[in-house]
Amino acid sequence: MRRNEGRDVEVDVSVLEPEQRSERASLPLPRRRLGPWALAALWILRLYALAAVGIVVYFFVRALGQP
Amino acid sequence: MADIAGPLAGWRPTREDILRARDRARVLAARRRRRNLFVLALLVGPGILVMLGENDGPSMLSYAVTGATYGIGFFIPFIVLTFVLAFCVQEMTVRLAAATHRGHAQLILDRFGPFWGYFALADLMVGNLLTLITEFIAIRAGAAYFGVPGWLAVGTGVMVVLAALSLRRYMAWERSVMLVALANLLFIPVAVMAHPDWGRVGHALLTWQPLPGGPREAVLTLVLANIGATVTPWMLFFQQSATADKGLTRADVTQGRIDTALGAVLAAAAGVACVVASSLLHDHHAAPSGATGGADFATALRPFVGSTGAALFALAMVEAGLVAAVTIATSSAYALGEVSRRGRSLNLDFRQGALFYATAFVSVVVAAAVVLIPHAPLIAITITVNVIATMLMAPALLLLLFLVNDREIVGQLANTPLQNVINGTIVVAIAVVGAVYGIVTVFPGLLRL
Repeated sequence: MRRNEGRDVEVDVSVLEPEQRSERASLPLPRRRLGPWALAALWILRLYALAAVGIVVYFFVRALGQP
Repeated sequence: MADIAGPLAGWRPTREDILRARDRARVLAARRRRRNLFVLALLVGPGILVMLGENDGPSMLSYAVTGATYGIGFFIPFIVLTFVLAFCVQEMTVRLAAATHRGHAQLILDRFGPFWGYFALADLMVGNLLTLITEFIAIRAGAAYFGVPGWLAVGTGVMVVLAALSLRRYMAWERSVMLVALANLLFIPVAVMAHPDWGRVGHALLTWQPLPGGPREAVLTLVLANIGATVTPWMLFFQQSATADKGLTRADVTQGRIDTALGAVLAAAAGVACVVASSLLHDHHAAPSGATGGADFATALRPFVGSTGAALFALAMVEAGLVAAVTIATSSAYALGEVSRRGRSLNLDFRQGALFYATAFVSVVVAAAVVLIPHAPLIAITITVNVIATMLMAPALLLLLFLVNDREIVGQLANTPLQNVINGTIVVAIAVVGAVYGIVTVFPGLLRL
């Protein structure tokens, strides 16, 4: 790979799909446009997630206090 | 790296690209020659690793407790069912990776914005760190059977994880970890040495009988815990990222599915074997009281399976913790690399992948150190791991379902209506059961109402 690097590179990397190249795969995709139902579901999920975090923290703190 | 000419002009391939391209070239050459088994052999990996990684230290200990408490019966087919469900969920990550060549954390951040991107990352990192601690507890407990001091067992575990990461080559990492992961199947010879009544095992598989006796609350909690933990967040992130890192494309989805199914079969076989082996303790009323680790079960089993069987049992317990430590630490590294848009590949060298390797390194070292700290709150951590994994699974699963229906990015690999009915039902069931389990664990009085 070190000698004839350029030639090896050309032979090897041509098998990759364009989206597989590391620089392309790092590029952000556009934000998804969500319908009203999906948006509502995500807001409910957001509230659930925040409540769940609170419960987990409460549980951990309570467990720390137990012998 | 040199610039190249032709249709790829202007692109400067990195080490990651070149190593991935070499792996892809082998797959394409084998496919051209119609060597289908060799193609499969080249493409399996992430599915086997994720499923055998799910059979981690705490899971195997839980199977041992189940076998010793309830014997051969309901829980044998129940374990098989949980891996069927896990296959249905994990298969979606294969399609996402093959279609987008991106990891799970990156897709969530890009498609759903920073709240979900950073929430998923934080949930994963915290959950993974706590789970890693329990893996090192399992490693220490299993190694105790051989008289290995705790510091040496944990230190060796850390060195093995770091050695795997230091290979800086995805395929080498994957194959070496798979080799260790296959030691999960050591539970099978132990089950054979236990000389169980295979007719009873077959009867249980077919009829789900006998149903577990004892307090209903305990049985119900165990069932909820197992369904809720069928899939854990790191599994989604790990398999998608590893599949993308390995370089699977749309043409490889069938092999990705076979890989996942193979992993599920192997993991279910190991889980059932663990229950079958430890069911001896139920039949002989010899379950260790207050057992906290693999060594207790190995010691209790020794009169029935001999010293070789007991040693294999303890060794498999150590392996369970070790493989999970590798895969879980790697899933943290992938996720942080993806969200920060820094390097996130096992094909990176240390300079290009500084953050990637540092994430895995730091999480493993911190987890190991916590286990060795005298009077560390290990019990609080262990019981919190289940709660965090089950309660916070709902967002991860529902976002997965959204992503796999996102035709803009997955195109033809999106869920069909039938897949949406089946996978949607499974995802909702796991999410709801996980949430219920989490809540009744935090507020146990609710179960008695």
